[in-house]
Amino acid sequence: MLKGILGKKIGMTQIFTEDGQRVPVTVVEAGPLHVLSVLKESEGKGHPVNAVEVGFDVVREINPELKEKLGEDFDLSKALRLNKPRLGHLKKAGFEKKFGFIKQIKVDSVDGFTVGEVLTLKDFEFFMKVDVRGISKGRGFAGPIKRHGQKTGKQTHGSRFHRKPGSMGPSAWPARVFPGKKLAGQLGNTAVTLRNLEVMKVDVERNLLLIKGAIPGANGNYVIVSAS
Amino acid sequence: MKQDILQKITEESAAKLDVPEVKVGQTVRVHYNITEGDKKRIQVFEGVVIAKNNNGLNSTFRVRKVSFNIGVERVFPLHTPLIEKLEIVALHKTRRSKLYYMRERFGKAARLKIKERYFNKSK
Repeated sequence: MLKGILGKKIGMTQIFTEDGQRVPVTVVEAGPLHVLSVLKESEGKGHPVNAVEVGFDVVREINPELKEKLGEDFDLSKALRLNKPRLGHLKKAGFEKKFGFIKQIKVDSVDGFTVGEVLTLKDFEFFMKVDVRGISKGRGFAGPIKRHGQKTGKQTHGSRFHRKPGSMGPSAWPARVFPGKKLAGQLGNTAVTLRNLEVMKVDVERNLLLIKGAIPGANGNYVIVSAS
Repeated sequence: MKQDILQKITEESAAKLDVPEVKVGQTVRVHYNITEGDKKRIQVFEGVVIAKNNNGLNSTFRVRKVSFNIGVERVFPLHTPLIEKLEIVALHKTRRSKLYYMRERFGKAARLKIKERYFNKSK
């Protein structure tokens, strides 16, 4: 059984539970996953843990009409916009398509997984609580107020101290700024894991997961949903 | 496509009432599931719909009745699964969308002119 699944954030909405509560949920399109390789745990040069490498979200497929038209001139690498090493790796698993998201997922045992098969939510171990990992929305170069939640100065009354970071610390000693001083810088666009989120509903037919609350990233972002 | 999925999921969780539409000015009988401790029972609340708030899944309607000479109003979420049954008793002739003026009226003054009567049948 898979311990995690790859997904795509679709968006947020709210649903009614059976006891009449309205719950905010994030809808995640989870799977189907295409098994690209099975990595068995081995010592030395091998893979450190049991895992399967899976591809999610087919972003490019072969256009059969174009292939016929071009005949011998048809270049698979160009058609899929993949370089040859990557294409070779996919071909080995029997997939001639481009995936938007390829990751390795840990498994207890690699038995039962074969290269080239397609996994859906059915093969995912169901959990009440999950961790969701995604790339947060990028806020660019942000000041200390937005980035660290510092207080602003007064806007009026001749304040002259609006959104500045404040003091850099003591002066003669240590005559330097301590590392970790909260200053302006890049905010967001980093990997964020939210833990212990509740799964409200699993829709196996439509490959959808309904997770309570918000998850990192913008709509359409890829996320990894794993067991808590 | 994305919006379609979201809309479908929202609609699926909404309870399907067996009435076509709740309208302001209707006299309705709401069979509402009430949980007291671990006991469940159904309470019937009958009154006039005096306001409706249209807000997707969060839509609500406000029902007013006069019980032992005291006006009682209750707001029900339109799509809650806790409504077991909703009967429409009658539809009254009204000229505004919010009948808050009913709060100042008691007795004979609180009558509304009936446009249609459904004789306690759920439509």
